[in-house]
Amino acid sequence: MSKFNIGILDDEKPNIRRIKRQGRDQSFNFVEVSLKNDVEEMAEEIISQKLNGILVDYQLKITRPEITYTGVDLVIKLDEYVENYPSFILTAFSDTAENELIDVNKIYEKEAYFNDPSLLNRRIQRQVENYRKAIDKSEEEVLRLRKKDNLTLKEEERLVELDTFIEKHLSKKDSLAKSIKSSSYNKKLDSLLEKTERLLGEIEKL
Amino acid sequence: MNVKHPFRSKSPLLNCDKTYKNYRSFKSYLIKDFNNRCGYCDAFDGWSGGPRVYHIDHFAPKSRFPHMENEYENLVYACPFCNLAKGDDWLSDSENISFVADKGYLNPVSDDYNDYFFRDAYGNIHSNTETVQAFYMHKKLKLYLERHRIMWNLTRIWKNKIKIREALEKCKGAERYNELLMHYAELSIEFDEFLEYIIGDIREPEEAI
Repeated sequence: MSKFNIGILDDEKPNIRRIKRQGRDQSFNFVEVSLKNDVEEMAEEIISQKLNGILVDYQLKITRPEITYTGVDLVIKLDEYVENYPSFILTAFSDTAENELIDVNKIYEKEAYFNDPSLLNRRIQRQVENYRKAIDKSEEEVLRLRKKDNLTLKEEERLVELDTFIEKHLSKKDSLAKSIKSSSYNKKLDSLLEKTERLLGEIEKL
Repeated sequence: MNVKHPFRSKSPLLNCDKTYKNYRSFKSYLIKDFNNRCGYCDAFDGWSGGPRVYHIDHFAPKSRFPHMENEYENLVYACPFCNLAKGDDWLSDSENISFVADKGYLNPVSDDYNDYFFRDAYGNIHSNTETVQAFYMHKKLKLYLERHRIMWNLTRIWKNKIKIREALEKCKGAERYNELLMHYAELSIEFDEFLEYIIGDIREPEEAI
């Protein structure tokens, strides 16, 4: 399997160089990502670059005062785009970052990382692998259920649940509501299709 | 039911001879050349919030082949689901070789997807059992997802509605015209409600307009 790519976002170039050094000989590559002024634009850029995860500095405006968002803001925004997106925050301001509404397991001390990168590097790798495994496992079950001829009500529910899980892990904000995939909506859609075809047939007979 | 519908009714055709330094500048040409459809799953962009929601995929990934980043022939108009499911997956070391053994990607423009994929009676996408090339792609791009069936059926209903409207235009003087027009109006309301529910879930109503 090819190495996966983890984006690095920091407004200070020396930090980026140091992080890249800490990521040598790992099962992933650190890729520098240019900062955008707007958090929405930044999240879209990360998604479009198809990165497998990000490592972002908490304070992004030390040399770029025009940047109005923090690393935490970006991680929260990314979570709107993709469910459980693998993301990590490096900070020299851990108290401030930890006070924000975010999973504290995503926050790491910058200096501690520079002194010993092994813990975070291992977690980055695990997080990305677990993310992939979660999708693969759901996928196997979906494909198994789809092969069955007659699903029980419970299996139908499970299929919709897994389908939605996979969708949200690809693009949460564009995914369809579970209810749309329910059998009652299937019937509604099929019936609507049938009605249009019947009406078309009637008109063509005139 | 062993009904097999063609996977797509219109194939993409590249018609842009412009050059840009940033591939994003090609988006308006891609929308046109790909008929507002995802190059991979053929889903109409209108059901997902329009072109701004759709992505530009690099058939040969730009992370592996940076020199292909702004080449129009390498760009695919794609829904977020196909684009992100494909990611940077590419099995060969050459931008010109998209298959290694029976695994890889069929080019949405130069390969006829109707030879490799079909839709069953309900609209689900299947890979053609006579070809091995489509299996990998079907799984990797997650073409089994429910959304592909739903989007395709919405398109079918929409096309039928257009046909009904055109047919009604031609029989305005007929005895049953008003009755059939009423049926058409009822169907339209039902369809719109369905659509609002889907689009409204993706975008706030005022944004969806």
